[in-house]
Amino acid sequence: MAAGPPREAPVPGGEPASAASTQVTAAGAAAAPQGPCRAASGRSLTLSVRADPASVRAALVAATDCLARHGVGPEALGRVELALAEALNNIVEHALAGRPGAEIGLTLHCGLPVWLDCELRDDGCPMPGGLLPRGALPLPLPGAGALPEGGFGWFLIRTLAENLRYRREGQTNLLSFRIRLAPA
Amino acid sequence: MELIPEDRGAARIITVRAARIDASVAIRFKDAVRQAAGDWQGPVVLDLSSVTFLDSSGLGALVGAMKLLGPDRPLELAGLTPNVERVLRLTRMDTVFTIHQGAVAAGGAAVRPADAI
Repeated sequence: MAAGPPREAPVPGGEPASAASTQVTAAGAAAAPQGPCRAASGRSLTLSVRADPASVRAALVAATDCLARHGVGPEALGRVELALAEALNNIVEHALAGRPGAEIGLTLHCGLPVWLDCELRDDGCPMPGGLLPRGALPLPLPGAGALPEGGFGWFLIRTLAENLRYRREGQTNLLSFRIRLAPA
Repeated sequence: MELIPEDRGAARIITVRAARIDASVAIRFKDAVRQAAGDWQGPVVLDLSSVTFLDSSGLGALVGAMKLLGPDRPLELAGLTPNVERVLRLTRMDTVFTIHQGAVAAGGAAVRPADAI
């Protein structure tokens, strides 16, 4: 199950390099990648995340640990973690619903200290209509008794992320976005 | 995840001992709040000063717990760490919940939240 420590590869010319995959599962010893983390600028980190909530949690902890060790501050780290959590949860709950053994490929391309590009791929169901949800807040918020208990995920992603893109390639969903780490 | 209720004056304070309220615990969390509130009549204050991460599923659980308790037992929040405060602010839920500054210390005084990670 464990593929050892994550290996990151340089990203020549801005093209994603193939990086070794680290399996992230809830129970696995590889839940948090061990060893040196080299998510320095121009490098990428790839994680393979099983499609269940506990594995998503482990992947978020692993990714943010790695970024923290490279000097990403708590404010930016919080935004990165929230955007990734919402994107991963959406895949688990919709595209890969009922397929907890399936995997999500998560790649972070680091343009430290300014930005972080995030890519997620899965082989689940396509987005309805081939489009990302609008994710609008129901404003004005209804009275307490009628408040929605869900549907905030895409609103948060759209608020936190730039360059949000989705496309379907064959049987694969590809979602990508950029999180700004430092003020423009 | 552990929720510790303590009655203080008119309010029941529920201290949440969990670092993350996310999709993997959201349903359990909502149920645990309902249990910890029990048959208390009056405000129920959740002390979230140990919680360093909240996602939209966790937010949904907070909203769900508030709806379960109903208008006679308003669910209020205290001790928001920066990541929790961000989710509430971005979704405008900071206008829905009564939010107390700082954690709720013994004796009822508000204190500064523990240093957030």
